[in-house]
Amino acid sequence: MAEEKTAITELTGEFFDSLVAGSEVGEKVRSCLQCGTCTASCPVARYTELSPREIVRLVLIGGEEELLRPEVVYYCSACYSCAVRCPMGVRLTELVNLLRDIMVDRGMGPLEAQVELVRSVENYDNPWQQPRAQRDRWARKVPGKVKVLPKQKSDTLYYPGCTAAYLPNMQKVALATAQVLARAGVDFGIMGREEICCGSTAMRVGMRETFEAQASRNIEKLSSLGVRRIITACAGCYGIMKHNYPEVAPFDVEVLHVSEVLAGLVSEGALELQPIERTVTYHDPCHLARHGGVVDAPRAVLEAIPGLNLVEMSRVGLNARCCGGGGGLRTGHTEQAVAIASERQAEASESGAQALVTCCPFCEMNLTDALNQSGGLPVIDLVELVLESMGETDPAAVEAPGDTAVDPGPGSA
Amino acid sequence: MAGGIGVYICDCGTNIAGVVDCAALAREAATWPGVAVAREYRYMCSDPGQGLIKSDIEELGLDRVVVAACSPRMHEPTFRACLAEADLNPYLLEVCNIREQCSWVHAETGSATQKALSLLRAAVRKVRLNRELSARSFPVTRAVLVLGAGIAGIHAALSIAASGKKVYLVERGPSIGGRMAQLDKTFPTLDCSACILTPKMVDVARSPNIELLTCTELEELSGFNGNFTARVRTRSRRVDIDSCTGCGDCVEACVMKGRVPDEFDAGLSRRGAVYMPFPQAVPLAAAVDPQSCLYVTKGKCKSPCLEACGPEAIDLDMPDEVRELEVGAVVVATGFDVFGAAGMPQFGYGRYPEVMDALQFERMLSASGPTGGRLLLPDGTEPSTIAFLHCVGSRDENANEYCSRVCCMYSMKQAHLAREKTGAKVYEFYIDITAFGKGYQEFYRRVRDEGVFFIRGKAADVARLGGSLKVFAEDTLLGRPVELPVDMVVLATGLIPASGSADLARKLGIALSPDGFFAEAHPKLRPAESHGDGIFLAGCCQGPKDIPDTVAQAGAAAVEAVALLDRGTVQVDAGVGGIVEDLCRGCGICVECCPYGAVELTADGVACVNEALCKGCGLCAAACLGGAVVMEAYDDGQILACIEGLLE
Ligand SMILES: Cc1cc2nc3c(=O)[nH]c(=O)nc-3n(C[C@H](O)[C@H](O)[C@H](O)COP(=O)(O)OP(=O)(O)OC[C@H]3O[C@@H](n4cnc5c(N)ncnc54)[C@H](O)[C@@H]3O)c2cc1C
Repeated sequence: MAEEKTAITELTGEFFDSLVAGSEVGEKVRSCLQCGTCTASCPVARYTELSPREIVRLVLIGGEEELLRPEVVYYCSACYSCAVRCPMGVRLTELVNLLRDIMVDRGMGPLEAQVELVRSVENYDNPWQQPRAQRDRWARKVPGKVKVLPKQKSDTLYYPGCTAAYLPNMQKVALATAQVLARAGVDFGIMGREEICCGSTAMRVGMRETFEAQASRNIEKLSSLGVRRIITACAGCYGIMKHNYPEVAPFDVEVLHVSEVLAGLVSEGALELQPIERTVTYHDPCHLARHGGVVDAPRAVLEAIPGLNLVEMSRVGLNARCCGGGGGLRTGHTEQAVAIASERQAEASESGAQALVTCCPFCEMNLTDALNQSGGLPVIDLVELVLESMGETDPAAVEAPGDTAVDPGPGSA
Repeated sequence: MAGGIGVYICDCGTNIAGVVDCAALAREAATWPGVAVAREYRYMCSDPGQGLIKSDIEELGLDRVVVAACSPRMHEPTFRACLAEADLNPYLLEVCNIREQCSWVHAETGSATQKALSLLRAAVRKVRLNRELSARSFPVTRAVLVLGAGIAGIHAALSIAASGKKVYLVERGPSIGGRMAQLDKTFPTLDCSACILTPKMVDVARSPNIELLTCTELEELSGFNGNFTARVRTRSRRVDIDSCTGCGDCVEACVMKGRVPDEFDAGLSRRGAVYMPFPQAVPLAAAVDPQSCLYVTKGKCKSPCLEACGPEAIDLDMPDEVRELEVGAVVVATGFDVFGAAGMPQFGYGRYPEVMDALQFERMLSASGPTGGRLLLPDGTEPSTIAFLHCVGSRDENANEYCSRVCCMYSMKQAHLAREKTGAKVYEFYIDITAFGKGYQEFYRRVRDEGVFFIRGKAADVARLGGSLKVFAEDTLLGRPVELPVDMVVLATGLIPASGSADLARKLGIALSPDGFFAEAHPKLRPAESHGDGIFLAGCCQGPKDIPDTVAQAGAAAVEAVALLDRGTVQVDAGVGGIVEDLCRGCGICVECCPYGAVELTADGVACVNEALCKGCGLCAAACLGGAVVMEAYDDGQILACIEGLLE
C-alpha cells in the first residue's frame, strides 16, 4: 500500500517573505507559472528528489522543511540553463545559491566533500590542499621568462586559477595560455605565489563569508598591483570575477577570458596560425556562455585556424547542455556529474567531430572522466589547440619538474 | 440672486472618499470668499449629481463651478455639458483632480486631505478668473482613409462605404486580404478562410465608394480632426493594374522565376521577380518586386516579361506616384507580424527543416499552398508525429510579456486538421489553454476528445539527438521529464506589432502602448479610438486578437468614423493660444516648438495661431520671450492664482 499523503492545510508566504523576497533574487519568483521550462532544461533534474519547478513552488508556499535539505539544494550544477530560459525571469540558479547560503547559515551545509575544498581555500588559498609555495611551479616550464608582478611591471595579469595552476593534468592549460599570450605579443605578468583562489568554490556551495573574504583580498591585491586587466582561461574564475566581484567591493578591472583576447588578436590579424587538419566540435562552458555571455569569441578563434573544421552539436551557445561539472556537483555527487558529462559526450560524438574543444578546466576534467567511463571524444582546451596551430609542441608532453603527483580526485567546484 | 462659486466634491464611491476626507473638504470650502455653496456627493457624474449642480445654478444663481473629482480627461466634457444645460458658459468650470492625483496615489487620510485642499484652493482661485469662451466649429470632409487592408481594413471600408461615404483603402502590399488570406480553415467553426474572405475582397473591388490603393503607404498626415490631408506614396508596381488580366504569362517568363522566397507562402515556396501575390488577389494583377528584378537592380535584363505580356501592361520604368487625399477621419488597420522564431534558437527554427512556424504550417495545410494541402516532411513523407509548442515569443520575458490570444486556438485547430489529414499522433505542449471566446471551450474539448495529447509543460528545447528530433519538456502534472521523438515541430509563434508601427504612430501623432501595438483611448470604453481625435483603430494593430474580435472592432471603428462624418462639423475646444501682435517680434520660436504645426508667421512677420490645430498645450506661451502669446483658458494671471492657492 502507498504511504498516506498529507494534505496541505496551510499555505504561507513566511519563508519567502523573510528570506527571499527582500533580495534581488526574490524579485520575480512570485511570477512563476510552473511551466516546467526550468526542470526540462535542468541537466540534474532527473536525479533529484525535487525539481527546480518544485523548489520554486515550495519556496512560495512555505515548504521550508522540505526544501532545506542537502539532498534538495546540493544537486544544482549552477549551469544557468533554467535562469536563461525562464519565461518569467526567475533567477533560479541564484535562488538555489541563496538556499545554500541559508543552509550554511543554519549549519546544515554544505556537503562534507565540499567542506573539505572550502577549508582548503581558507587554509591554503586553493581548494586542492596544496602549499602556496607550489602555485607558480607551472610557470617554470614556460620557455622564456614569465613576468612576476610586482617585481616586474605590467598592467595585465594572467590569472590561471587554482585548477590550472596546481593540478598536474590541467597545468597544460596554464602553460599553453602563457605561451600563446607571449607569442602573440601580449604584455602580461602573473602573481606567482601571491595568487589566491578566486573564491568560486566557496560561493557556489553557499559559504558566502569565505567567498567574500577571498574576493575582498583579491580585489585589494589587484588594486595594489595596479592591474587594469585580468586574463583568465578558466570559465569559473571568469564568471565569478566579472559578475560577482563587483557585488562584494568596488572592482574596476577589466576581466577577459583568454578566448576574447585571442578573438581580438585574430580580428586584428595578429596571430600567425598554421593549418590543423581536424574536425572538432566546441562545448560552451556554462560559466563562460550563460553566466559570462561569451559565445562567439571561442568560435571565432577556432574558425581562424586554417584547415580546422568546426562542426556544431545540437545544443550550443546559450542553449548548450551543461557537462555537469559545476556548482559543487562534481565534488558532491560525482557519479551523477559524470553521467551528465556522458550525455554531453554522446552529443559531441554525434556531431561527427574527432575532438571536443572547450575552455574550462572543470568541463575538461568532467568530460574526460566521461570519455574514460563510457566513451566519447578526446577533450582539448582551446588554448592548447591555438598553441599547436602556432607550431608548438603539446605543452602537456613536457614533463612536470619534480611534481609530487597530486591526485585531483573528482573534486572541483 | 447673488452669483458666486459652487464647489462640488465627489466621493467617487470609495475611490476618493476612502482616502480623502471629502466632508471636511466641503466644510472648509464653504468658508472661502466667493463660495456660495460647497457640497459633497457620492457620484457627481451621475444624473442626480449633475442635477445638484444644475439646480444650484438656477436657484442660487451660481456663476462659477468647481468640481473636485477624477481627472478632467474623464469627465470635464460631462460637467461642461451640465453647465451648458443650465445656461452657464461651460468654460466657467474648473475640474480639480483629487482622484488620480490624490486619493489613488496616497494612503494616509490626513495628508491626502491636506493635498486635496490645496488643489481645491488653486481651482477655486483660478475659476474666479475664468472667462466665457466658445468652442469653434469646422466642417468635416466626407471621406475616410483606411490604412491596411486585412480583414479589419476590408470590413471597416465596406461598412463605411455602405453608408455612402468615400473610402480610400490604402494597403502597402500588392493585394488586399492580410493574414486571413493566408489561413486554411478558421477556428472554432473550421470554415474555410478563403471562402469567407474572398467575397468581401471582391466587394471591395466592386464598391463604387472605395478607392483602393495597393503598394501604397502614408507619408504624412496633416490637418486635424475632420479635416485631414494625407500624403500617400504608391510605390511603382511596374504593372498597370487596369490592363493586366492576371493571366500569369509574365510570371512564367521571368528569369528570376523560382528564385525568390514567396512571402505569401511564408517562405515555403519560391517566386520570380514579377509574380502574382496569390490566386485570389485583389486587384488580380501581377507586381514586380524591385528588390529582385534584374532590370531594376542591375539595369540589365532581357526582360522577357515585356514580350510575354499580351496587353502590354508591364512598364519597368513606371515612376512612384504621390497623392494628397482630403479626409475627415482615419481608420488604422495595419495588423500584425508573426514573431520571428529564430529569436529563440532553442527551438531549432532555421536549423532543422522539420521545425516550422505556425504561419508556415497554415500554408502547408492550405489547398492553395506550396504542397497543395499535404503535410510533408523535407524528405517528401508524411509526419507520423507532430508537436505543437505553445507560447513561442509570448508570455515570455525574453520576447514579449503579453499573451497573443490566438495561438492556443490556432494550434488546436492545426492539431485537428493535421490529424484529419494524416492521422498523425499530435502533442500540444502548453502552459495554460486560452480558449475564452464563444464556442472555444467546446472546440478545446472536441480536440481533446479526438485524441490529441495535451502535455502541461512549456517545451524547453528541440534538438536532434540519437538520430531523431526530440522535444524536451516537463510533464508538470506528473512531475516527469518528457523527451519525445517527433517528426515535425510547429512553433505557435506569437503576434507582434506590424513592422513600421512606431513610425506610423509618429506620422499619425498617436501613441503606442508598452507592448508596441497602437494604444486605444480607453481600455474598456473607447477600444476603437486612438488618442488622436478622428483617428480610429481596428483589428490586430491595437493588440493580438482573433477574426471575430477584429471584425467587431472594425465595425466599431467604422461607426465612429461615420458618426463623425455625419455630424458634419467638429467642435474644436476653446482654450487656444492667441497672439498679441504688438508684442510679437516675429522670432518664430513658437513656430518651432509647436508640436501640432499650429503656429505660422504671417506675411507681416508676426505669429498667427491656427485655432483648428491648436490643442492649447501652452508650449508657445512658455517659450515666447516677449509674452506675446496668451492662452485664453490659462493666462499668466490664472496660473499665478493657482500657485497662490497651492501655497496658501
Ligand atoms: C497562424 C495563424 C493562424 C490563425 N488562425 C486563426 C483562426 O483560425 N481564426 C481566427 O479567428 N483567427 C486566426 N488568426 C488570427 C487572424 O489572423 C487575425 O485575427 C486577423 O488576420 C487580423 O486581421 P487584421 O486585418 O487586423 O490584420 P492583418 O491580417 O495583419 O492585415 C493587416 C494589413 O495591413 C497591411 N499593412 C501593414 N502595415 C501597413 C502600413 N503601414 N500601411 C498600409 N498597410 C499596411 C498589411 O500588409 C496587411 O494587409 C490566426 C493567426 C495566425 C498567425
